[in-house]
Amino acid sequence: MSSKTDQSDVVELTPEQGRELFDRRARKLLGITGDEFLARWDSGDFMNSDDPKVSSLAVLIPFTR
Amino acid sequence: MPGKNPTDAFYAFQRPLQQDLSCITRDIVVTSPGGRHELDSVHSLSLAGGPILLTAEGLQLDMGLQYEIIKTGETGKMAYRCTTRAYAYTFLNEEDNALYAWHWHPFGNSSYVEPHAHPFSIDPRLLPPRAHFPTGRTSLEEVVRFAIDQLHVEVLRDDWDKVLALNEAKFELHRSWRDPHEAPRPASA
Repeated sequence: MSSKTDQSDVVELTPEQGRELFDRRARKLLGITGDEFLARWDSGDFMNSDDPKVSSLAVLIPFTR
Repeated sequence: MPGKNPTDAFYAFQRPLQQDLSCITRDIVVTSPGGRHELDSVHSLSLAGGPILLTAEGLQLDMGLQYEIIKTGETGKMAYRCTTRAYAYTFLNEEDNALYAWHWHPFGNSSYVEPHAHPFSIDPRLLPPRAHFPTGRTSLEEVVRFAIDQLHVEVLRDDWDKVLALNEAKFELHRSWRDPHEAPRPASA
């Protein structure tokens, strides 16, 4: 993914690119895959979590579903 | 920010955010699939390359936000707008450890649904590192201005103060809430 300087530019990711972005961020923030995070999120593992890293990653969920 | 169609509304929302960021980085924002036009579903915006490096000492800024393109009930140029559903702005050190963050994430799994801050670098023996410090709604303009004014991050454009002031004024004009008690709750988000 290349950076650009055009101030009005924006890149809409494809579903595959979105999944890749989410997976990278999951690995960096929590050391787990994006799929693992989603499975645990859906199962309620993070219910009432007060971990800011979980919240930061959860904001990005629309990149992957 | 309003627009005559969903795509116009998206760009009216995204463009000021990109301008804000251009004060301190040449990176661009990316949006999730369908994020430029799909109505009534929640989308995300984030930085294309992940956290951006701000200083030679390794200070970084990460950002992510959720938004939705909605019908306003108006017609013409005001027919659609984007509304923010969540945000996370985080300063990190060179080891990717969070230093300070502003969050608002009123979705189902959250333990704390009002806007707040996490001052991670405070002594954890005195204050829990995961404590939520109440704040008002925080804009990206405020975060970028904080980076420039308080953290002495190098600016990349001479008109940064004007850009941030103008976009902040737009944000204040069109936002639907500011104070924590006005924030949408999970049931209505």
